Amino acid sequence: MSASIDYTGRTVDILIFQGVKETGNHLIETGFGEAGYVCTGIQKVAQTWAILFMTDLGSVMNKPTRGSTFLLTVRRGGIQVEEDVPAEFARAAEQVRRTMELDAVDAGALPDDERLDEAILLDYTLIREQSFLSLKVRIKSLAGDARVVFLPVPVAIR
Amino acid sequence: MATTSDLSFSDVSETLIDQAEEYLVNFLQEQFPSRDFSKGRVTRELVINIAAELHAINREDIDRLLKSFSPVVIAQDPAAADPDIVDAVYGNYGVTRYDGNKAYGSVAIIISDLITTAVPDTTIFTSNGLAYTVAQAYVGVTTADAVLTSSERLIEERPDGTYVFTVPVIAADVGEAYRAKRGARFTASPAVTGTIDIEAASDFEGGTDAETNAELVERTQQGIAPKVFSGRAQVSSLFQDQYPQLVNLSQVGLGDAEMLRDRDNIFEMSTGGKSDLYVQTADVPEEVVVVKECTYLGLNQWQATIGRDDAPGFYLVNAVVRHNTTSFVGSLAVVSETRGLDLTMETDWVHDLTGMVQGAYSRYQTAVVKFTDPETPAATLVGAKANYDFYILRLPSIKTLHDLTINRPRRPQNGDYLVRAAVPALAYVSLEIQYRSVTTLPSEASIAQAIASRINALGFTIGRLPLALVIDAAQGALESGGTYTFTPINMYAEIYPPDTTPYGKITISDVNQLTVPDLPERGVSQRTTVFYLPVSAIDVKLKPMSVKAI
Repeated sequence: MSASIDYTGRTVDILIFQGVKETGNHLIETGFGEAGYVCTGIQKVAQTWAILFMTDLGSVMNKPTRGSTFLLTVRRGGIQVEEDVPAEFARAAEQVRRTMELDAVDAGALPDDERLDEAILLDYTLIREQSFLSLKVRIKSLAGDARVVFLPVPVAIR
Repeated sequence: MATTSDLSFSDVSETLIDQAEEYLVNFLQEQFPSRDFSKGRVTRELVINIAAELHAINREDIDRLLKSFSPVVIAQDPAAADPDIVDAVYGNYGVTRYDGNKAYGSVAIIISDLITTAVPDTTIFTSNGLAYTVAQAYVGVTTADAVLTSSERLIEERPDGTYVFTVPVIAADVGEAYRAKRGARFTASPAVTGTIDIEAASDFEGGTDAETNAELVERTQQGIAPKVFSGRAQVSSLFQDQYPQLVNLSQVGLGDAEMLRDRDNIFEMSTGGKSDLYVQTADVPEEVVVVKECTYLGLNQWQATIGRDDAPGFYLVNAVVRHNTTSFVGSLAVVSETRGLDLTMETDWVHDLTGMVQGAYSRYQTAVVKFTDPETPAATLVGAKANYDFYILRLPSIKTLHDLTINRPRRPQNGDYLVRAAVPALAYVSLEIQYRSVTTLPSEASIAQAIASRINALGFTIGRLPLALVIDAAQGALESGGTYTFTPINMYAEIYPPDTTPYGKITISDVNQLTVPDLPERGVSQRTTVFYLPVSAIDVKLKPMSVKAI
């Protein structure tokens, strides 16, 4: 994942993926950061997607349709074998996609690089001994640029 | 007094949160045009959304304060004001909310055998889903010698061969709903050994709801007047202050046709200086049981005197039964009832009044009651004594208010204010409500309660009981569609004027409106008379209506 660098005429959002560099592989952590980093473009899309994907559907007051069922399914033991991962991911990703499309309609004229085109599960690893699941997701904007997000998820395999 | 907010997120509407979110977004967007606050962005999802929830709850808090911070805004919409803040505001004027009180009375525990029977202090008596408790443990004992304290209750034989003892109980909570009527069935938990039945020995007393904001506002507005015997506003203020449960008050004085006491002179001219204060101290009169020692007159006839302290200002003797009779219907036949006045001086002064028209339903009223007991043993000698239970209908606290008028420091030097229970117009209503089969219906009892609450609040205001009010109250308790009150409905009322003896009661009946006759010379008019409509006097029938499917 790389940092967005062109802010001319753009609106910015708080950057919550700390440690982002322009090129290369780096350890990324989530948080508000110390210096108030901001981002724009595809980075916003990746953040939005990650937040919605990791938010439990129904957990946001007054907004019952925001979020996805992925973590709920994980906690309920819905992922028992590796084959469960793509199915649950697809369901949750579709929920996120619908929400982001509605948000884009609400927001009016968003630039194409701030609108989601697709989220593809590139790879995943389920380590049963450590109750650990890792997702590698490619987020692509309508403008064609993309970012890859790694989502580590602790899983209690029952 | 509320010092911190007790609001939770559930108290805040979704609309208010949405408005708060929109407000914050617009506000921040103006301040920071380069920031992206659209949905899905981190700032919106993780900052603004949460801030909006907190903003909304603060807004709700402020709104409540704005609706409650002064007597003026409270009076504009009392229902919207926060009760705790209202209490604090009116506390500044020395006005305290009336918290309501708990109903209390006695339950008669009917047992099969004459054996010592315990009622633990953990016993819960229940009637119609409402709980009543005992203040202490009681034990029913078999001999009078065993009654040493108030916790020992003498078991007495009933005419049917079973046994009974009574136990005082008090409602678990405040409220009118807890006023059990005589004969109301109770259950006990844990069960009392050997019990055949448990019922209210007499009508329960007390049991008033806590004052609402609207009622507090109304009382306070009256209370701004000085609390003294003077003009009508001042006397009303005094009575409301001394007896917050007062439902209605009507003051008759100089120039009013109903004022008879100031015309006791050879010219029958009003001389002023006197006032009759007709009070309604409860929604409906209550029945109390008074045990009287009666004297045998011969030929199965007995006589007792109801003293002025037995049930001050009482309306009617509803029933006379042999002592400890419960579960009865009707009464021993009352041969005659002669009302009188006991004007014995209690302080340094007594009211100036003559005759029952001037003194009926006041604290001075007495009655001599003669009745027949056909089961009097043949060997009973004339002059023999026996106890009988008198079930007497009366308003509570007539003496409490009367005492204000004879208290030397408080009473006016130049006025004679006589407290009297409102002349009773005991009403009865029978109505039929038709409904479609798909309609959700409340119980007949809750419809009757809605009607009773509406009518009993009328007081002296209109002197009428209109059909429209009955229908409106009934329909208010029902779903708006699919029901209607079938008209005409049957209504009648029995008015007991101060001179009921010897002239008799007045019965009024009409399908559209019951109207209090204007008979000031008999003490009956809109200014003196109140319609009482207890729930037990309302017959509600629910009937499915025949309709075709569409």
